[in-house]
Amino acid sequence: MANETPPSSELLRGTLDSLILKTLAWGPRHGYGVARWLEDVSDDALRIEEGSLYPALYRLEKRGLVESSWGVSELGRRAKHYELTSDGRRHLQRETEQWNRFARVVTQVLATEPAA
Amino acid sequence: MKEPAVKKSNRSPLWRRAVASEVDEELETHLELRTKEYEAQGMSPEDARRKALERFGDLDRHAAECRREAGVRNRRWRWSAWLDEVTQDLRFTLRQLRRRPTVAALVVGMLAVGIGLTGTVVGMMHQALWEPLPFAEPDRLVTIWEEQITRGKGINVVGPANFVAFQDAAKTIDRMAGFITVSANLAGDEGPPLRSSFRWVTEGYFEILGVPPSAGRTFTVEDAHRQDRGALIISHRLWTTRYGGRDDIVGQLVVVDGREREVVGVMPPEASLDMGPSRAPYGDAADLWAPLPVGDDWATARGRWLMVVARLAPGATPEEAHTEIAGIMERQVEAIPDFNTGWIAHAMPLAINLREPLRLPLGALAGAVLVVLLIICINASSLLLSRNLGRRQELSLRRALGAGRGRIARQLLAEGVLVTLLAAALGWLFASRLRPLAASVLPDNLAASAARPPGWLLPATLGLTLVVVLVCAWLPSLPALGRQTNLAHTRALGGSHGQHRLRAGLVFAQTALALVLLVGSALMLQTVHRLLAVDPGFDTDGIVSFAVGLPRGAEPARYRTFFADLVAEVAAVPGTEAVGAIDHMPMAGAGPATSFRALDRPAPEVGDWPVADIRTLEGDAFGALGIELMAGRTFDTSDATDQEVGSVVISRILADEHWPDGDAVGQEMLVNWGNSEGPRRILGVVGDVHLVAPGIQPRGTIYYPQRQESRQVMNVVVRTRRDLESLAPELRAAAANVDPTLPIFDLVTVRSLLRGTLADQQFLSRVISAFAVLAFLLSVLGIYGVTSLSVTESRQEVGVRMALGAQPLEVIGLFVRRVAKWTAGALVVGLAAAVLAARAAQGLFYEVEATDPAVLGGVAVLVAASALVAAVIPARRAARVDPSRTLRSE
Repeated sequence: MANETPPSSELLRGTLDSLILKTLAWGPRHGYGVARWLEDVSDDALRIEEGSLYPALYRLEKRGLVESSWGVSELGRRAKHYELTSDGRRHLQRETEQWNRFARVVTQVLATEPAA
Repeated sequence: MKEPAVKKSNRSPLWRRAVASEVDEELETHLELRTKEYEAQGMSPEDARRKALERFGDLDRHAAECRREAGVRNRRWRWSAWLDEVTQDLRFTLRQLRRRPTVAALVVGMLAVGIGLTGTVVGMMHQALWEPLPFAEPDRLVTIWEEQITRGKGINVVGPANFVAFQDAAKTIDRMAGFITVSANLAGDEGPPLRSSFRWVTEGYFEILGVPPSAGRTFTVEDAHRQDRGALIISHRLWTTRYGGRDDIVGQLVVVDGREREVVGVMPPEASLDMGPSRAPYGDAADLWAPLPVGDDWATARGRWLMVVARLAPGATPEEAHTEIAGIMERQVEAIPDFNTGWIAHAMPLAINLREPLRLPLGALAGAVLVVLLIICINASSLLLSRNLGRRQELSLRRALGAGRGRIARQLLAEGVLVTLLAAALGWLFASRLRPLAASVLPDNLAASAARPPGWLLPATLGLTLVVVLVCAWLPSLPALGRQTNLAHTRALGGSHGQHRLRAGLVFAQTALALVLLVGSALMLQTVHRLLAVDPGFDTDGIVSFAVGLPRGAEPARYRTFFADLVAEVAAVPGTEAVGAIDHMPMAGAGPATSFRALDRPAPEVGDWPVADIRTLEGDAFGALGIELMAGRTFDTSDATDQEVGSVVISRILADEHWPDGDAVGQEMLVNWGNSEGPRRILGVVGDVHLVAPGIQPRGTIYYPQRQESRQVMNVVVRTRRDLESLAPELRAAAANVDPTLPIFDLVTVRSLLRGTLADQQFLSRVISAFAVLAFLLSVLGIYGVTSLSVTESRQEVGVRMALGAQPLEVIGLFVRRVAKWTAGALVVGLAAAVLAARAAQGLFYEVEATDPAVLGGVAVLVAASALVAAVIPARRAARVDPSRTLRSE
């Protein structure tokens, strides 16, 4: 439905996708694992709404960037595990490069002092 | 490390359910793990769970989004995603409805009542007017009638001579049968003697209708001429009630009017159908049939007493049959001028004949119910409209958050569907409760139609509901779908100007509709009032009557003395003040009439003889009925025997018309009636009596003494202060004293007969008045509500005006003028519609025109005054506004 999302949230969504792909680069995880890893790595600075991870995971799966399969969780419950596909791996690489370029440019712009 | 794959999610065969439950399961696992972790940090399980949920965000929204993503992953899953969304919409709607149950309950309740009422009446109309008659190829059935053009009294039964001529000559008719419905005493070992409706039928009657017997056979040609025992066919009703549905009924011997008859067949229920417009006091639905031989003397017989039903030849139309029958009748006029001059004949479809009398009352009922349904729709609309206005914030927010217009429309449609289904279910339930109730309160002629609903009524009701809801629940929500996605709009209070006009328009459309009902109700009430005010020429209170019939073919001497003995016996019952007998009760349907001439002037041309009603009396019938004696005397014992010159008493109209000088008493007349053809001398003149109904003007009437011209069935009339219940056993005992084998029947009060003639009008006046009062109150409340709202919304405007020096009266005037303008419009439209509707129903009214100025003016004044009051009350609140307060609050 939501086809006309404002640019700011598009950026955020894309970023969230990259973060998730990065998380999965270390190996398959279930959704909670993804949330916990992001929390630990960022010292919880991102404060991501955990629920929003799942639609993102489903979207990634639809685009063929991740695959899912059912396994068992730490508590012995059935849990769905996600895993990067080779497409996903390439996508992550591209996104990382793009982001680094973008961050570099933004940092450079922000660091420039106004000429006296 | 890779966990072993248990199942690929997109290979689930029960894909839809699987997608939904897998999403739930996955999210639940997440929440569980998070909760455990918080618990490990030392939180209580409740706090941990709450914190986990908080951290997760909107569970429903995320779950829904996952399901949608999972759904569109595969094109085949689209439908499931849509279904998911619909389920979600419905669940959301249910939550909404639960949150504001009053509006939802009101809308569902109102629609249910409207749908229930409409369903009931449409079911009745189907049953009474549209369903094919329960005969084989009913379109090929016609009835044949004669009509005396000079008399203008409509259709008449057929003379046997003309029947024979029609039967011999008509090419457009395959087969024709005559019949006459009377009543007869049924005796036997099965129970006490029973007065039953008894129909004589000529050969081919059942074959023409195409109704086969459910047991035994129909009549053969020989049956009509059997000398020993007569043949008899009985109705399904009689077979089950009197004979307990016995298998050996065929061949059984029973006694009908003293003659032994053999039951040869049993007819299914539809064969008992009332076959003509005349309503005999004992009802026309037949229980017994016997063969009526067409005698050689029919071709030359005088008198008209046959009802005729015929089956058209293949390919012939009722119009062709009518033309042919009318042509044969013209030849009959030439053949028997003294009998047929001034008469014509008709053939008309049986369905029209049976159904015409129901068309107007049912049509009026349906019209009233339709107006009520419209009013209900308007009310549901404005309720939903105001609720949707209240939801504008929510809807705008949802649009701002990216919900497409289609999604919101579907959300509102989901509401519509839910409301529809609820209302239809309730409406159906209501209708099924209403049906037995309707059957019990409806006048007899309509009651049967309420008994059995047609099979298509349920789908039709659903369809009707859907249309109603789409129109009245969904359309008002369309403004909410406008382009106002701007968040700023969500803060705007009430409705825009356009929505305001829509609401006001609805309220005044409702007022116009209420006017139609009010006018209809006023006209019906006037009709009933005027009918009740008619002096029928006899007393309607304190008179009880019952009927007794003698067997056909009894001794002439017995005829003469039986009713005199009966009257004397009843007069001995304590508490009876005057007792007599009359052959046809007033207010109990049309009775016999015939032509006559005064002997003191030249005979009129053949066919130009005047016509008078004929009634036959015994005992003190005039006294018991309270019919006033105006000149001369009534019958006494000196009129008992067969005299050379018979005696009659005539009514005032007849006396005034023929003897305007007041010298009627002692004059002589010739009357085409009964066995004696000699002259009759007028003994006295009595007051005019409305014999058929209060709304039908009295005609000249000639009264005969029963002892000179015997009748087979007489109604004993008893003037008494005692009530019917306490008197009944003593009346039965008195009748049994005279002859224990004769059952008494039609035991009624005269008041109930009078009520019976007014049943249609009284019923309609009650129903329409109830509807009208309801509609009127709703529209007054609506005007109050709309004015109230506009007062609330214009507080600032009013504050400014008052700060600028406007007086309270001017402020009130501001609102009242607006209402006055709308009301004036509603009055014009409503009164015009009311007059049109009333014109169509004119046949139901008595001595009141559709355009009756008092009715129209009274209703207009009532509505205008109430509208003004409903506007002034909230407007006064506006006038009390403190300008400084309202201005500051902005």
